[in-house]
Amino acid sequence: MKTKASWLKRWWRPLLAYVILIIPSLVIAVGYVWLLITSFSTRTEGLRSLGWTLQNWRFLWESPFGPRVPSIWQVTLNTLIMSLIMTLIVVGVSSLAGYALARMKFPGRKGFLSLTLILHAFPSVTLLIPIYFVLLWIQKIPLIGSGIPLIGGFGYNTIGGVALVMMAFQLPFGIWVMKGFFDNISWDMERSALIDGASRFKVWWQIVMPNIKPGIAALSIFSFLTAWNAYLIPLTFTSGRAGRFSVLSLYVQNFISESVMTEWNAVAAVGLFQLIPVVLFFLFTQEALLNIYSGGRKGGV
Amino acid sequence: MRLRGKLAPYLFLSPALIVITVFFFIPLVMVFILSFTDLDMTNIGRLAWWHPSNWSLENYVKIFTNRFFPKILFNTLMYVGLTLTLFNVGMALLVALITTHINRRVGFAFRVLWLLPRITPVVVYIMMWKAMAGPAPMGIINAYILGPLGIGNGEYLLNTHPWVFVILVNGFIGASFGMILFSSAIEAIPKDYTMASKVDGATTWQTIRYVILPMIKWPLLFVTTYQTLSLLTSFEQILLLTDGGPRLYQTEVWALTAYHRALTSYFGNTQWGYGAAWSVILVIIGIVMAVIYLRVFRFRELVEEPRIDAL
Amino acid sequence: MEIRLEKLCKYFGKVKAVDKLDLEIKDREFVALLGPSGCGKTTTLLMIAGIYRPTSGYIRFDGQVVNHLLPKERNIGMVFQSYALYPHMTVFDNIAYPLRLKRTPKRVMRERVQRVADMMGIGDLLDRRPAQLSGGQQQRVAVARALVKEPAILLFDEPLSNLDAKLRLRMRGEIKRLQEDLGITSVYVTHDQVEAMTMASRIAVMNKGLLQAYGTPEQLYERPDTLFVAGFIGAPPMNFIQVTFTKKDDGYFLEKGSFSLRLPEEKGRLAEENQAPPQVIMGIRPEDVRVVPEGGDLRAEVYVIEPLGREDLVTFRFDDEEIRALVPAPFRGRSGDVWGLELNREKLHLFHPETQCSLLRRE
Repeated sequence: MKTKASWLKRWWRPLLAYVILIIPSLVIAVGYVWLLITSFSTRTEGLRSLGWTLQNWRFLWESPFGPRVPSIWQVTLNTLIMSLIMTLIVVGVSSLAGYALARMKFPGRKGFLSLTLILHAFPSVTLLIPIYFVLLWIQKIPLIGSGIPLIGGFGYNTIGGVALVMMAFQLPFGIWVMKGFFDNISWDMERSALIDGASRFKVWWQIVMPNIKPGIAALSIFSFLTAWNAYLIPLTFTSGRAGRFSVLSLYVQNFISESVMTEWNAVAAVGLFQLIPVVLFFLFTQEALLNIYSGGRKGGV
Repeated sequence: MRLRGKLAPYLFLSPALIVITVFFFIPLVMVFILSFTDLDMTNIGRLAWWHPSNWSLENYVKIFTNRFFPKILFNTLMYVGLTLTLFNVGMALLVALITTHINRRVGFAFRVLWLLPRITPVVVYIMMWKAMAGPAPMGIINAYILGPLGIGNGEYLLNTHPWVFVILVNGFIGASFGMILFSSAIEAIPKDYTMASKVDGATTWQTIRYVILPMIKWPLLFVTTYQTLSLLTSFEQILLLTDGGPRLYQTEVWALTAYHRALTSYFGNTQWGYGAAWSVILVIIGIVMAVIYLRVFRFRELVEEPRIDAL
Repeated sequence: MEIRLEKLCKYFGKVKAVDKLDLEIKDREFVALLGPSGCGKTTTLLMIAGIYRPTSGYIRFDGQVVNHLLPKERNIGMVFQSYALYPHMTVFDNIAYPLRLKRTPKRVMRERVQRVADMMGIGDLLDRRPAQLSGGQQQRVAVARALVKEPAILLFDEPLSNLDAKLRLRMRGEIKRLQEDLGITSVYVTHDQVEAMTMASRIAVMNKGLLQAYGTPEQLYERPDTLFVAGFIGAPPMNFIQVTFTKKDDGYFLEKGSFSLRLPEEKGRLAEENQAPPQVIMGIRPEDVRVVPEGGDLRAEVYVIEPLGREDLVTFRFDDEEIRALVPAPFRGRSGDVWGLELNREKLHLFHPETQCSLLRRE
């Protein structure tokens, strides 16, 4: 029986929900629309373009800063390589550590797990100074310190170095995520492999890892995104926005200066250039990322 | 063979242990020592900072007697508290709940939208917000909302209400983390529970309150813990948005102060020692909070014993 | 391969899962570990496999202590309740996995896998993935994988639990025949006493981590040592009735309320020797209770009739007690009728109410 009161109660609830959802979402949406419009305009007032142009995008085919500053494509390549190296190492190290923490018995196990969470409390800013020294020290190591083609090595002011630091800060989260996925693997399957004759390492590599693909995918995407957008760490550990090892977030800074008038519209264009591949990639891999928590177990142990 | 078996767990952990030692522990020890020295860009190379004779508590005294110390502390607590409850947990939960109860495709589209702030390069993201907050006639909020309503006189909103924007900017980024975890967890709840609830006659709100929320307790606790720590140590956005201003120390938070002191020459020569002291206090606060969270939320119980003894 | 368990204990924290277990399994024997959930049978099996480390005690294979040996060094094959097949590999790769780990040459591997697969009747499924197979087929793959390395010991952990009744029946026979043909020492864990009785040459009954009895199916059925074993083995389960045990001039009697039963001389004497207290528990199986229209050892009222097809299981009530009898179908009585029950004297069991041990033991 629908009384007037209950009828009233029913309709405003969903409406409220939609309002709560839509208003902040609108804020975000408007911001990005503005970004898009700005990148194709000479100037904007609010959301209105004062003149359409492609000039902002000219960095794609000519370097606006002269020959000594790397082109957008070089920078993009740097960013890509750095992100790939970082992702690869994060997934590798996290999988190894996560497996040990999830599936092996050893003293200090619980302590280590708590440690990975506490590590996240270490502010990156705190550690930037000493890590600078650490990287300088690594640079002195022959061969891998500095001098590997393409990435420049793993010391200070190299792609490898930046990748290492980014990887380190992503590690606590990575270990937690992989541990979560390992928790959902059937114990019987591992036991069977051990009885079949596999060493613990073989069990990890041949049996468990192939069944963790959603976890690997999720962590890879997350890590890659973090690396692609990195700003502070590359800023601190390379020679800067115009350097040989600049990455996209730094490159943008070239358009923002104190002395000359800032070309905000070009900034918008470069920003979109950095953003769009990610959005497209994400749209294609959505399932993996959104399932970062889930993992069911069907019967058995 | 036996020995190798016993070593196996440690071998698995060794890459992680090496990374953690090199990039966390050693730097932490260094920072700790540095905080007792007055190493800066002028005396690097000359100062034997590792020598105890050069150590003193001077930096810490400077911090506690700094006249902006209370303000910075207050700012930090307010920033973390508000952003966490309003966005990182609050909006995250709301968005997750709502998008899992409407049409799947539409819900998914909303979640992608909310992820955009996190995947946008930070410089561009901040620039976007500056444009939103800009003075009339360029600023969007002024032009389309405040202007027509006749509120204010079209000034640069970052100057008049910097805190609103600091929280908004960080909040939108932070919310997406919780949103992903919560929505995955909600969708992982077996449908039997929600169906039983409906059969029992519960409204959607009641189902949420009595069935769904208890079942996502662990992600809730994890997100709260993790995001508290994230907020405590984040400052990139604030750096780019207001750089602690516009008025003196108006939006300065602790992490930003540490960065300013240690890595910029804004306040004089890049003072590594002094900046390190600020950092050390931040680390201690962070670790204490993390330990408290671990205890209160009993994370140890989350850890299951392994069911294989063989090494 | 002979297996010997000596004073085997396993603690999980404070919980005692297995308590001082002593067991010997002869070469080529098929032994069942039988008991309810949580009795420690799977834990014992996993200790034999080397997955769990005993807290104390020894496990010997052919006299050698193997406690410290890794599972892969023990030359065993194991079949799990959940089959534990590797979902990302084909059936062929699943079965071949143990051989691959031993770096067996490809040709030999292919030959042995095909042979074992044919033996298990899945020779034509080698290219499929586990997810594409039915439960019964998956189970055969699991068995094939256990057999392919020609192990010295086979371990089964409730392998038939996830199959439907008909398939279970068939697989029971097949596994039993397989084991007979191959002659591999086998240990089979189950909670289903029918499985244990039909397949094993000896059954070890466990409860709460302790060994209750160890004997052939016949021994356990005819001469159970404890109340637990008596009640666990045999379906429908044994009836237990509290009675008074008295020795009179003309013999030994069991009495309760309206009925009085004269014990065979030998049983009475044994009970006396075993210090039977005045109150004892009498056990009689439903199949040893005969229903007669007139007379009988006691009169009881029909409570419920359950048709089982070939027989009817009738529950009777008398003096607050219930007693079940198996009657050839169809039973002509109805609820409420009073009938006479005759108890087969030779098949009576007596148990001590506190120790729960059989009072008819011959020491």
